Amino acid sequence: MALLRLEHIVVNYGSIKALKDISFTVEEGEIVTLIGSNGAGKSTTMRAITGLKELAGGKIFYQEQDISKWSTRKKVENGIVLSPEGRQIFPRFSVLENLRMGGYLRTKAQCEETLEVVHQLFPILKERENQPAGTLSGGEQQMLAVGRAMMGGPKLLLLDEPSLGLAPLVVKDIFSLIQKIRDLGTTVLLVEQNARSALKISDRAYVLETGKIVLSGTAEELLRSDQVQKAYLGM
Amino acid sequence: MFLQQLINGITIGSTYALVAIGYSMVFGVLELINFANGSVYMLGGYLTLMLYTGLVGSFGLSFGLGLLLTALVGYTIDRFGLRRLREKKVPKIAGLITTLGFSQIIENAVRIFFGSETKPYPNMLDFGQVTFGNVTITSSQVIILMISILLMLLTSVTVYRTKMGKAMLAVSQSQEASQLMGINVNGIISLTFMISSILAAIAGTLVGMYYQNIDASMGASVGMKALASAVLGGVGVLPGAMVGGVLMGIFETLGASYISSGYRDAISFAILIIVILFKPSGLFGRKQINKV
Amino acid sequence: MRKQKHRVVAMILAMILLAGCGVSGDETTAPAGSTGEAASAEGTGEITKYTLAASVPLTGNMMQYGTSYKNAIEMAVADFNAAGGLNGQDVKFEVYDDKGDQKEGINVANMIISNEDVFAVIGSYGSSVSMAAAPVYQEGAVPMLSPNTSHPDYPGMGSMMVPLACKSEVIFGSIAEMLYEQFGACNMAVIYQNTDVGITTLEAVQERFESLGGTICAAETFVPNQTKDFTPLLSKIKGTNPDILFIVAEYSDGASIVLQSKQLGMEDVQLVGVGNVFKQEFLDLAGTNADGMLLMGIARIYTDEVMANNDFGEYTADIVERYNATYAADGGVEFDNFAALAYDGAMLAMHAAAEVGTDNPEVLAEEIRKMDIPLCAGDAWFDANGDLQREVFTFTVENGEFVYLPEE
Repeated sequence: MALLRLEHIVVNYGSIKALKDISFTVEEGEIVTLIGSNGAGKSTTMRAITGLKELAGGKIFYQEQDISKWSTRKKVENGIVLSPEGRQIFPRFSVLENLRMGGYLRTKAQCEETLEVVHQLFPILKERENQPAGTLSGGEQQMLAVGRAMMGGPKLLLLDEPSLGLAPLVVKDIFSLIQKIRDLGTTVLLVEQNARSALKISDRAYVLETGKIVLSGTAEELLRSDQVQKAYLGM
Repeated sequence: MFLQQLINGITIGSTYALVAIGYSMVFGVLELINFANGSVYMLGGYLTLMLYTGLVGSFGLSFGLGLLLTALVGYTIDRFGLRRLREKKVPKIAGLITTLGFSQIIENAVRIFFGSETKPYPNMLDFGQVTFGNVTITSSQVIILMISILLMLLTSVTVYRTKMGKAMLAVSQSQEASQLMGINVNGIISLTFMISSILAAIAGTLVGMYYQNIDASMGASVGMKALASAVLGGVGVLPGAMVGGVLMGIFETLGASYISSGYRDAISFAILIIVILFKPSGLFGRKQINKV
Repeated sequence: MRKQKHRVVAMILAMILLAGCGVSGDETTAPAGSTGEAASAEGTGEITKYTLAASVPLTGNMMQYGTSYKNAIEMAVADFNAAGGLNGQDVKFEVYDDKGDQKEGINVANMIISNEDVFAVIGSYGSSVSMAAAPVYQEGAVPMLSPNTSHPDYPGMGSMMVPLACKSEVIFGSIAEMLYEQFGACNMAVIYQNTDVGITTLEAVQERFESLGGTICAAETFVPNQTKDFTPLLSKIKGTNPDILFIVAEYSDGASIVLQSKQLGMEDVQLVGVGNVFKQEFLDLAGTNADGMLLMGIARIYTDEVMANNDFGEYTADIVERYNATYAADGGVEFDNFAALAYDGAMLAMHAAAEVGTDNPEVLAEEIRKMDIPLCAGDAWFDANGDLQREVFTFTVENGEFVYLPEE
């Protein structure tokens, strides 16, 4: 059984059809990437999965349960956590407070445990524990966003544009960290404009264009595909 | 006379502070000025009085019930007035006007059901007074000040040290990020409204007892002053609201004593304007860290 | 997007429509006709109009007074109709809500004068609104009886104006004299509300008291209904060592002032109150703090105790009793001087109409001024100067109850 399955999802913003018909799966232990240009519907898909945006049609299944109408809270409780586009950290909270917010629904013991892991993955977050999050650099904030999402103890971690606006060296770090997270047992669904780096660490990927999936396959297949190379890899 | 008026000013200012906290909290989570807060203050005072004289014999019980009912009204304003607007993502001004509308409804409902004449209010805090030279301090003043300080402390502890309070702070920074943490954002907002309503209702009852009368129009003017207090202290910053409230009370009373009583309100607002000209974010306000 | 714009426009139009419907009389009014034509020089005794209108605050801060007016006029009209009405026909009573607001008072006035069946109007509460609306009634040639407008400029606004309250300088000059006679050339502090009434009262009292040899040691003003805290003013006043504290305020402010003056230790100062403190509600708020206070004015007090201990005449006693039975039963406001004046005003208008007819407003207004009928609010007459004169009454408070002090 797939960990996550989307069946013919439709999402509208007023009269604009953002997602026309999206279906895909994510198996446990995978890193799956959604690539596509701006406005293709990648972020909308993530928002729909977490419940930030309601579905106009279609269903979402998590561990074969229909979660289409679940509240965000319920989803987080059950292990689906999103690190959103633009990071959306709490600027006035310290780094530590941000992380603790991630563990809002969990027990103190669980939080302490995960905090350890997060500090190991992102040592800079321990260093800057008490700094107001708003004063961190872009890369540090991204790490904070991911770390905070991990504090929710996800089975399925959704990462929306984790490399956006970051310096190339930092981007490298982020992607290797994503692999480490997967190695620790968390399934990852990734949305990225930086198609090359994303595909390099993914198992499978889907290509979105104007609200529909136009291509799917293993990461290698897509990396080698002419279509993808021309459209998204700049070749 | 200065000391006497200082004490009077601090007493009345601490009741402004309680209402100002409400404005600050709601603004914090919603970026919205709840114009109905002043009328909730007045309603709280009225409900306690009417329950006490009409139905229940015990003042304590009436007070408790009054607070409960007022919290319910606060909840209603958000749940049935503002939440739908949030869901439909209408511009903020619609919410503002909604709260204005509610303030009118509450004020006129009170006039219709309880009458528009000024009503006498029993002073349950009257245990005598002490005089030092020119200065008289009444028991009411001491008790009001103590209760206000206690409430301000409670509120601070709740907001800054409890999980729920942290959730409120989170919602005030980013509703969406809070939702992603699994926080029930609507629930937190409702809670904020209820807390601010309870604080306002307590203030209304205290003031009723202090002046020994109550009337339907007292909400409007105190609402404005408490709002000004919150702005003076820095909207959205809790300690600011508290300090702002007390300062407003002091300015108003001293202004009335030394400059002119006819202009007492104008003096307070003039000071507010001067402060804002030099520090737009208020005394304790922070420069906006751009939300990321 | 377009749909949204249309909805917004529709909403705005709807709001404008609703706002327009906001001001309305109790019954539907006749559409606008021309204002009263200048009629022939003499009255023909013809009765062609049957509607008595009233412009009173039925909502807003002053609604309790407006309600008293409305109830009293209603009762007067019922009594008048029961006794035969106008030439056998019933007088119709139409009441309009002016919200205690000047602009609204003018709106209402325009509506009233465009109703061709109206022969007189009672209204409004207070000098401010009455004087704002007066030019409209003058222009529309509808006699206007104003129960509690005491501003000195009001009578001069035209032949249609019939004040039922004396000009401030008239009443308060007399009161200042009475106080001088009782207390001599002492220190008087005045605390007064910042309205037409308050200011003209201060001026009248100050002028007369000082001319007699007394001293006004302090004169402090406040905005009515804006604050409950009079301690800054009272502290200032206390510092000038007054023998008398003269209070010009509505009853709620007045009660607060009395209370707080005691709290500040001004027990030995003689309190004097005028005007709108002549109500049971004042005592409810002030309680025994008001003991020993003198209440002076052209207003009488009609509480059960006062009525039981004094004889204001059968006519008055009967009205008080029936009014309280009808309107004060369920916690409504009891008969007070506002009700009395409104009742008298209505009776004056209706009796005058029966006497000289309704087709000549000038003649009608003249007849009203003759004040030829029994009045429940006390004696009133227009003197040689054309000024309204009324009996001045003095009350005091003992053990938290009003006590009438008849002239000795």
